[in-house]
Amino acid sequence: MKKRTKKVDCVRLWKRIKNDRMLYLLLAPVLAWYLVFCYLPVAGGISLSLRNFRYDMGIWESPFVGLEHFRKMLSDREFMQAAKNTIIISLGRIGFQMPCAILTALFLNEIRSAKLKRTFQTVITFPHFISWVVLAGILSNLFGSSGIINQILDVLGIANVSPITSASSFRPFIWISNIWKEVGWDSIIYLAAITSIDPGLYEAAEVDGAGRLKRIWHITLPGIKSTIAIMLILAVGQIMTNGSFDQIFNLYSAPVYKVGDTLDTYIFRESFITGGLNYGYSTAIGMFKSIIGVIMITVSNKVVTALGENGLY
Amino acid sequence: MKRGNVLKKTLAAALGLTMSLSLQTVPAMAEEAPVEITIATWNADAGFQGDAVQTAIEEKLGIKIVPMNVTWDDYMQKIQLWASSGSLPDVFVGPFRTTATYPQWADQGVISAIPGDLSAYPNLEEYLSGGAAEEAKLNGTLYCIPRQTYPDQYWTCLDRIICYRWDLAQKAGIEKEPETWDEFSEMIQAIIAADPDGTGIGGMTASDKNLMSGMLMPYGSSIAVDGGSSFKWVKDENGQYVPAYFTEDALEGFRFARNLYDSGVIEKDIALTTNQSAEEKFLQGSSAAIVISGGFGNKYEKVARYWEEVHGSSYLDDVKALNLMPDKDGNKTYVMSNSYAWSESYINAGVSEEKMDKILKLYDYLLSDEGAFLSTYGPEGELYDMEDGKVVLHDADKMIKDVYPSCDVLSTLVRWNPSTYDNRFVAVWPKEYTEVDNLLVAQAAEVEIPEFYPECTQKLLELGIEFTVNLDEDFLSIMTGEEPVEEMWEEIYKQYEAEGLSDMITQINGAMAE
Repeated sequence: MKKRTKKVDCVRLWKRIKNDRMLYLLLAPVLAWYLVFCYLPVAGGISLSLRNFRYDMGIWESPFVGLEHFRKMLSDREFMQAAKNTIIISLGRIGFQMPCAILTALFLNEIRSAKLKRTFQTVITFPHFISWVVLAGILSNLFGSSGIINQILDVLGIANVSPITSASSFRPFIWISNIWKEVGWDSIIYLAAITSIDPGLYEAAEVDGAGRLKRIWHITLPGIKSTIAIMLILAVGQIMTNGSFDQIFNLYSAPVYKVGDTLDTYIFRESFITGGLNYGYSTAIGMFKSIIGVIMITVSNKVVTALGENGLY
Repeated sequence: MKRGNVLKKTLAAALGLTMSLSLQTVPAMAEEAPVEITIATWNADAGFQGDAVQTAIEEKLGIKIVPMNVTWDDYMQKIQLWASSGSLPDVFVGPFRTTATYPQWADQGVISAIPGDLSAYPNLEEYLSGGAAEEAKLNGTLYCIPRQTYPDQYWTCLDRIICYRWDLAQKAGIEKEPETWDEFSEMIQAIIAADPDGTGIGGMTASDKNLMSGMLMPYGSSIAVDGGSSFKWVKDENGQYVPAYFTEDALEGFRFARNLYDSGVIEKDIALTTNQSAEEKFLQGSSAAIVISGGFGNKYEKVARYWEEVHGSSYLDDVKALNLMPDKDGNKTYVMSNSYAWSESYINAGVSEEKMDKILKLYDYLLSDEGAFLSTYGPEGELYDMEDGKVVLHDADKMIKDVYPSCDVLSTLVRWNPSTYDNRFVAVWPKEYTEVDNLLVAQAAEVEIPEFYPECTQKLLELGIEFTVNLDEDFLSIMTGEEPVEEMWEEIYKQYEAEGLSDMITQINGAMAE
């Protein structure tokens, strides 16, 4: 009986694929990309993280060392510092950047003039398309000790400090500059969610005498709650990566390694600048990041679904 | 019919003849086909554009040079990446001998050993009979071709020099050229305060931020200036060998650098400085001084030759090289680094015997008189003449590389600065700049070199101990840090301990005792 149901399911699935073959065909390159660039390297990564890499033996044949690299991580102070920095920078991003993007979407939604709305949206989305390599140069010129901002502060008699090289202000600088660059782009998804809210609800609320703030609080925010939940799950899942390599790598320097060196930049420096000695160890750190990412995404998904929102799966 | 047969036979004979002729020509053509050699060196793309010098050398040796570009900012990363992915070029250059990477590459078959019998390449054989090659051997085998930079240790004083704005110092009321660090510090502060040209002039910059450590650490210890695995060793009061970097003297160097940084003598953004931006700032009058490497004339190409255009005065009048400065004990000192043979050429372990032969022939040729003069100055008679066996440039202000871009790369592929150890050569900048360098070298020749033990460094490499010193990173962190120097050093020291510093010292002492 069970066998027959399975067979029927397979036939149905095949039929569905056949009917929607063009859609599946469109999906195929994306799946292939993920398979080739995200899933296949995992096998090599797992193998390498358990080995002492030798150039002459490669990923699969290098001497097996078991969990030695993972044990080494626990006594590696630089790794610990980088892990701590990664988490702090990520939490800052979740705590500051997400609310900013939501607020921006709410603000844009309240602009009545379509022309003005489009202009604002274009202006605040534009920085997203500038690479961090270019932006880092611009920011250094603006905020460096002899940059324009500090020259103005100098004239006003205010102490001259460069946030790029100061350990106490580097992290806030990273958060603020990233908010400036990405807030417009991040708000698009919330704006899209807002447009799917039934306009009748707003009309009814207006008839009932609800002001703007009340409409936002009672209609808009509940309407985009599930989008916020999904974005939060995704952000928490990336807590060990935080998508900040480009930004930090182009802005940080030795004076701020203590507060700005993240796991990604640490792996890069260990592999290609300071040592290049053990790719097994660098890969193990990468694996550690992935494992934490999977755990975080699972936990946050569970929490969100337990709170009655739609999860990722 | 008969006529048809004759025709067939004639055609068959003609075809047979054509085939046999073409078969005979195949090996001949194969012999003539140039051997492609991929070479990764700084600015290879700009240099190897197929000019007359490159073509002449290629034709003579039956090779075709294929450039693989690296820049001063990315060469380490690129080469490490190529090595890990098995895509290294046939020949590449870089300073790896002084790191744990060198024995690792040698042991794991990444780089090729240089053949023991070099009798077929007499110039190269003679070149490799020097001390630098001997020091680079691992258990008796050489895996690189050291690129001789200077003839002796005291010449390394040119590897870190400070050029400062003497014209602005005078305008700021300074009457005497600085002879001590205090005087230098006062001079820079006076220039910044007076800002005579109104350019918003700032403190000292560096054409590479990592040059700072070599310039300032000698105040504490002139031998605690090598990072990687090539750090120098001294004996402590108990007779134990210890790295000079982990002594009280080195800490004194960090304290000194912090003082200069805090007092504004060094620009605040030094950690963010890039090669180009620093030179640009100095040229535009935004920096009171600049730390450069390779001697006073080394910035002729990018700074000095444009000076008059920007400032309306002569570079040699406006800018001076800082004399050798005293250390904490008042004795003149300089950076006593390993850079008298800075960086090396490596040959990919995967090259065929034929290619290895061609590469060695190229190196041999570049070391021959004919090859050395051609690759440094172009064809004789065009930009230079030989007079009494010495090179005389037609126009010293004209850069050879502007006419023959390949000279910029080929002349430095095997070795640097032949003019410092072969008096037939001249530097490729006006002689006034060389005279400044000569004065500094003369001062350095008088300086006593502290006792250190290169055999400990050699043991570290031969034992394959993966312990490295991050000198530049430590130095910049401490110099620009906000916490007290001693606290920061203690933190860094703990990290080195966690990485096996004590074990490493024990191992080396054990090996030395044997």
